Amino acid sequence: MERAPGHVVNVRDAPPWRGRRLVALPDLLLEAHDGGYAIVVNAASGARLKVSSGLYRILSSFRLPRTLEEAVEEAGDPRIAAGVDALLGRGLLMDADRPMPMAQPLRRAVPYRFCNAPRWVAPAAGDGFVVLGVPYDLGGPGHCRDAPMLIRQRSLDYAYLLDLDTHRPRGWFDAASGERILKGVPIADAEDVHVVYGEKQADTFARMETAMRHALGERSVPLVLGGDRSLCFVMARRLAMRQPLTVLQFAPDTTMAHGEGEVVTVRDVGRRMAALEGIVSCLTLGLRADAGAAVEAGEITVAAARARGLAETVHGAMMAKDVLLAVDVGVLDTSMPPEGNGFSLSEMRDLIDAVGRRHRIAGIGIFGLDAGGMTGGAVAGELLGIVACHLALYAMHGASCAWQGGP
Amino acid sequence: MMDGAGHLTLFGWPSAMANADSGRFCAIGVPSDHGNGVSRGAAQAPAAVRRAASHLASPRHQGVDLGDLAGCGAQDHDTVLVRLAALVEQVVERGLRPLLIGGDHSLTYAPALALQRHGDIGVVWFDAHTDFSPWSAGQGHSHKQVLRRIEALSGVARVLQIGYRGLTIGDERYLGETSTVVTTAQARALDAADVLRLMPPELPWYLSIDIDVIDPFHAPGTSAPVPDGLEPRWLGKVVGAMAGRRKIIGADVVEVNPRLDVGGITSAIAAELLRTIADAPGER
Repeated sequence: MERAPGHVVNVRDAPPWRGRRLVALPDLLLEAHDGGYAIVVNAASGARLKVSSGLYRILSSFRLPRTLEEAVEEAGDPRIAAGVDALLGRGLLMDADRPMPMAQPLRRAVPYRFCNAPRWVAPAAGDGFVVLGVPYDLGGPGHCRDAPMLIRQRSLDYAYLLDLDTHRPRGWFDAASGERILKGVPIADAEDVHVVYGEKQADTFARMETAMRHALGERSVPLVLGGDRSLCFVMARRLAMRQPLTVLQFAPDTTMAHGEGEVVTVRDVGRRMAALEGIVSCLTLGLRADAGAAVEAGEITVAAARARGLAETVHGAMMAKDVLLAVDVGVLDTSMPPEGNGFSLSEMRDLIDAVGRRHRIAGIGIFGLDAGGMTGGAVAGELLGIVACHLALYAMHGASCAWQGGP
Repeated sequence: MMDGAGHLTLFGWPSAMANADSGRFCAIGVPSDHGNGVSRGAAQAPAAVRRAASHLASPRHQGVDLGDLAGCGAQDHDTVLVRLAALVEQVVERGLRPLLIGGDHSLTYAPALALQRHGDIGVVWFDAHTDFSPWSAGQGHSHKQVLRRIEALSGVARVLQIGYRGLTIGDERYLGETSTVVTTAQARALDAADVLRLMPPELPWYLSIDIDVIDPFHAPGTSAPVPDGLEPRWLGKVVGAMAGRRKIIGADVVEVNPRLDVGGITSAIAAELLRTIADAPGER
């Protein structure tokens, strides 16, 4: 059934589908129709196709699997055969008994872009950030797949604007430091990686890695909006190809458990990353006090970090020049009122600053935002979405300091 | 005019002005959120805050509670503000001090307008935002630009904004010759005495507390939360010092949104702040 591009059907030849049962794609929707044309949407892929009314009538006659002879009275008309061939060629009609495997799209459109930054169109040559949402949460127990949309939606309060004179990004004024951050730093949003829940994790991860490879220029820094922190594995694998890399995870519980199966989970992602080629070290900071004896080498509790000093904790760790910064927002104290169990936003900012002062932040991941699973309900979830925006922007500022000569 | 008769009053205060001693606080609920473009819900705050206050010990100085300004939902926002300013005028003429329970922050324009007619005043503006958005022709009163309106009133001699924070488009630390902005980061390094030094003692002061000045994990029930805010304890100490050591001619707590609150903790903080103000042995 496959046709080489530009193949012209000679209707006098018996086409290869003659006598076979054909069926219209089950995911088709009719978006518009007038006397001359119809616009058909493939709901599975999002593709829109404009077809003539005649072709649409032929397509409609294949709602159930049948041969052309069963579906259309004038099956011998060469124009009908040409129409069927066109529908097959455009993927609207398929062989009912030998369906072609569907190629999954790499990415999917999103309703909002992070800070309303421009949509990504091509890898940039210079420094800049590429935002990529990955609504995958099957590496852990939480419901984090809505987080990319929530973070992007809340980020619209922090609009990405250009300077009227220079046409460069204006950045934002940070009231806490009295500085303008991310001034002149371009951001582009490459939308979401397409996730098929139920497919093999390796397939999802491969798609994410391909999306990163396509979207990132040589000096681009990815901001991945997860999803759960198992996605950090893909970021580490990809970024370690550039330079030796340390992965610094902020997480409330262990990431160093022994793997129990083929799936990378939130509990073993640290151990699995540590085994990747190019990974110099893998640290986890922010475990809760009740992690107790479960704390593994390379893992530091909130209490231990506070006791030693936040900056000292970061500076005392053995780390490569390039650091992948992965924040599971569960590391934050989100109790209402705060109980001090996790880091505050202010502490997280100090930690990120400490990383940015001595290292090059090669990638940023924001993971683990389960808006519906919080004690404070939807309000707390929304609030955590705002906090996640701040964390992302602070981390981006930390990364951009390396380009701009230090904080 | 009021519909508070027979309803729960703030701290169990009586609801008639007739027998109130001069200088006492006069609570007025303003169940209006038409100036909040983000979210509905602040109109429910007067009732929620009074309920929360009923669990607190009464302040040392008894005031009165006139109940809620009636008809807020059926009138244009301009009309509500005009009526509120007129009511505040009556309260002042009676020798009392208005203590407003908002409602959204645009309401503060009304008491500021009324009070500055009696002489120069200072305004303390506790808020995560500066509320100094640019004018938009044709738009009504908004909680986003209310301080810009107030700062332009001829009788407002000083503005002290405390709590500005977060990531904003522009640098909002300069609001004009008469204004001082203390960011949240700066405020944390100050104690009450430091803050009082920013308030000339010869000036009467109006305190306006937008509950979003507090960290949203302490006070989540508000429509425009900004992370990393002030702690309630710090705010309570500073407000108590202001109420005790400066001439306070009125105050409000606004932008509590019970619809977004978690277990009533935001209303409880608002009630505690009102109690702190009413409890202080300030100049009356």
